[in-house]
This record gives sequence, C-alpha cells and structure tokens, in this order.
Amino acid sequence: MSEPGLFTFPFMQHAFLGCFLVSLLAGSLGWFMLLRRQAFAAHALPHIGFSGAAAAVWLHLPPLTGMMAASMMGGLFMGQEKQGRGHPAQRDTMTGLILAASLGIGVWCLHEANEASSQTTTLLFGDVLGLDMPTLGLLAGLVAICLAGLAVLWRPLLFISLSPSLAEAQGLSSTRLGQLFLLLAALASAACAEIAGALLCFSLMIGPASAALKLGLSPARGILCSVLGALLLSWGGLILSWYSDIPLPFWISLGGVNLYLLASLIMKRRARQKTPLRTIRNPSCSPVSDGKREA
Amino acid sequence: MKKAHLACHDVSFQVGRHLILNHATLDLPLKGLTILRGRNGAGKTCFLRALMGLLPIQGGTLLINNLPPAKARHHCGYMPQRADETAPMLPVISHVMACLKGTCWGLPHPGRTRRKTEQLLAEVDALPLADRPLGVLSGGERQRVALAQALANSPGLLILDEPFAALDHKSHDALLQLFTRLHQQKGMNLLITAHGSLSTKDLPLPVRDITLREGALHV
Repeated sequence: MSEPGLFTFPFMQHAFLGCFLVSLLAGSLGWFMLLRRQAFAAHALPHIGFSGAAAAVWLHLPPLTGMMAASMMGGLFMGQEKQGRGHPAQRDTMTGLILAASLGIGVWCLHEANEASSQTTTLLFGDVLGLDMPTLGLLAGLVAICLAGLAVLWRPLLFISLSPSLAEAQGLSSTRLGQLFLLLAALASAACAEIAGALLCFSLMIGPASAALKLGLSPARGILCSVLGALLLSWGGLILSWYSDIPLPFWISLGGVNLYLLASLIMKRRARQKTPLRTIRNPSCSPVSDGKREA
Repeated sequence: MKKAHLACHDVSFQVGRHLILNHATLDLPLKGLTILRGRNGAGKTCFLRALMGLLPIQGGTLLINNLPPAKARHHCGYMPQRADETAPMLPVISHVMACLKGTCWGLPHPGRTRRKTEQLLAEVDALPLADRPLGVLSGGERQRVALAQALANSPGLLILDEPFAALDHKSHDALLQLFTRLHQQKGMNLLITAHGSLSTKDLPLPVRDITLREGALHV
C-alpha cells in the first residue's frame, strides 16, 4: 500500500494555509523592521507576547489573545523613540528593559498557572500542525488588518525610515509612526508565533527580509522577495519536517540563514561581473606605454 | 517667479546654553540666492532647523511667507548638512521616490511617482545614478541626490545647509549653475549656509549675504 501524501490530511492542509498567511505578514513587516534597524525588537516582541500568553493561560483565556495584548503593549512602549544622536542605542536599551520585565512577569504567571506545561511548550515552539479552522480565520483577520495598516502607513513610514531628517522637517512624527508600526509588528509577531513559536518566530521575519535587503531591491520588489522567501521557508520547512520528523522552526531558522548566504553570493557575483579583474599587462604590449616610450 | 520672505521680530533663540539669536529683528525678501554666513559654531545650522520648525524659538516671531515654520515648511525643501544614511543598500531612485508626497497616507501610484522621480534626478544631473545603491555614491553624487530629495514636491524656497561642503572647485561651479537654473526655470529661491568664499559675482541671479554674529542677523 502506498504512503498517504502530504495533502491527504486536513491538518496538513491547514498548516500550509497558515504558513501562507503568516508568510505574507512576516515578509512585509520583517522587511520594514530590518530597514528600520529593529531586529532586536523583532526578537523581543514575540517573547513579550509569550509573557502575555502565559498570563492568559493563568487567567484561563485564549493564549493568542494574551499574546497579542502583551506584544501590542510592548510595541507601544518600545515605540517611544526619539530621533537623536544616541537614538539606536536608546531604543535598544528600552527594548531590552521591556523584554526583561515582561519575561519576569511571564515566569511568575507560569508559576502561578502551575498546570499548563504543554500549553507553554506550544507557545514556545509553535503548533503549526494543530491549526484548526477558527484559528485560521483569526489568522486571516490579523493578516488583513496588518496588511491594510501597512498600506495606509506605507508612504510616511517609508519616508521616515529612509530619510528621517527630511521627514521630520516635513512635519512627520517619528514617535507616532514608530508606535503605529510597532503595533502592526506586534500583531504580526503574535500571528507568526502561532506557526513558528515565540522562540523562533522572529527567524521567519528576519531571514527572508535580510536576504531581500542584501539584494538591494527597491521597497516593493524587496517586500515581494521577502514574502516569497518566507513562503519558501515555511512551506519548504513543512515538507522537510514531514519527511525528516525534525520540527518546523529548525528548518525555518536554518533556511533563513541560507537565504541570506545565497543573497550574499549573488551580490558578490554581481559585483565581480560589474568590475572585471584588471590584468597586469606587459608594458611592451600596451599602446599607451609604447607611445610614451616613442615620445 | 515664486515669492519667499523671511521675517524675524524680536526673536530669541538658544540651543542648550548656546545663545544664537538675542532679540533679533530682520525683514528680508529671500529673492534668488541668500547666503547665511557666520563663523563655525555661530548657529547657522540651528537657525535653519528653527526655520524648518525642528527647533523651537524661545521668544519673538519667526515667519516665512507670513507663516510660522510649522506651516511654512510644507512649501520649503530642506537639505541637511549631513544626509541620512539609514539604508545605503537601497537604490537611489527609491530614496528619492520616498520623498515625493511622503507625508500623505496610503500607497503611491508607482508609474507616476517613478516618472516624476526620474525628472527630479535629471534636473540635478543624477539620472545615471538612479539604480545605484545610495551607499556607493561619492560625496558630490550624494549631494546631488540630496538636492533631488529637497526638490521633491516643488518647493518655493530651498533651504540648504552647507551644500558646498565636501565639493571640489569644479563641483562648486556646477552647483552654482544648477542654483541659477532652478531660479530661472522653476522660480525657486534659495537660502543656503556657507562659510567659505563663493564666486557668485557673475551669477545671473540676485545674491545676498546675511551674517549671523553675536546674536543678531546682519544684512
């Protein structure tokens, strides 16, 4: 008898659909996060969300609700950024402090909950094979909200991310835009954590986006490339984990690094093609040097 | 020809403990090219930032075209002394495109925005740089791209902070020619800072110097 295929089981169909939805978010918002040098925030948001999920478990609420609430609150605080000379360092300090505080609260909540170790494991490592239709509906809603929000923010966000001095001179507020963007990123990271878990969901946001940025593509093309990369990682990871029995986050995180290495190779190759190696010519064969000698 | 006017009435302006303007008063049409001069550390950059509404004044009234800086800045193009280098890997055209109606919400029309951006780059002789990453440009090339960014949204007044810094003599002359072209063809007026000598005698546009010294603006 032949072995049943990947798509025979409804849970695998749900998993592929979930990965598709999450890739749309991870690719687009991840690109903006890297552009804005917020890789640390991308790492911190799902961890902050994890604490909220732990609190939700304790209060007998759906973990995803707690995760969204906590990561959005974290995003709001982290968005309290001001442009200035020490700006990136200050922002990282703020992110680190919020992360540390939220993890402390998360540990306390888990201690108080005292019963949900399987749920905790699910939150940390994701449960892509456990996605049901209501969760997929919720994910689709989150994706729609985040993408619509990103479309509305597109121009001012791109302007302030690429030319902060000029954007502020035209009256844009980096703090307000930063907060709005991090609210979207918080929602996106909560959605990604459903698939890849809080520990590794940022790898889906960072890996493909870093490769797209390395390729030096324009924003629209870069985001398209990043979304396709995220789709490749998540769908490819699902297929590989089906055959290898190794968890999906492993394939996603390793695949992200490989995507970046591939992009680096492409760029090196392009650079080599643009600037061909100059060969040291024999002076006697050079018409210029001949002319000079004759003169 | 677009009109630009600067009015300071009893303006007091300081940044930290550094007093830049002390009850300064000035009423000046900014026609053609106006050069703001002053020694290093006199506060020229801070004054330009105040004109763009980026730094608050402590007293008096500062008006551009009879509007406070927060409102007037939407009709001004600004080029800071040090251009932003936040995404050096992205192509030049993306950086300039982002400045076109960058304060409006929503998605831009890609075709129209690209055409307008190419026009802007062509105006500053930077069209061949369009697809190159911003980070690989030389100082002079980066300056031209920054100027294209300042020209986005067709401002009536261009406020440029040290546009001649890090430029060689040949590029100086080319930039002055470009200023002339912008004034004659687009009717734009320019307010720039400079502390070196500029050969503006033969320029076919009105040139005026203002000096920022001891808390006052001298024409």
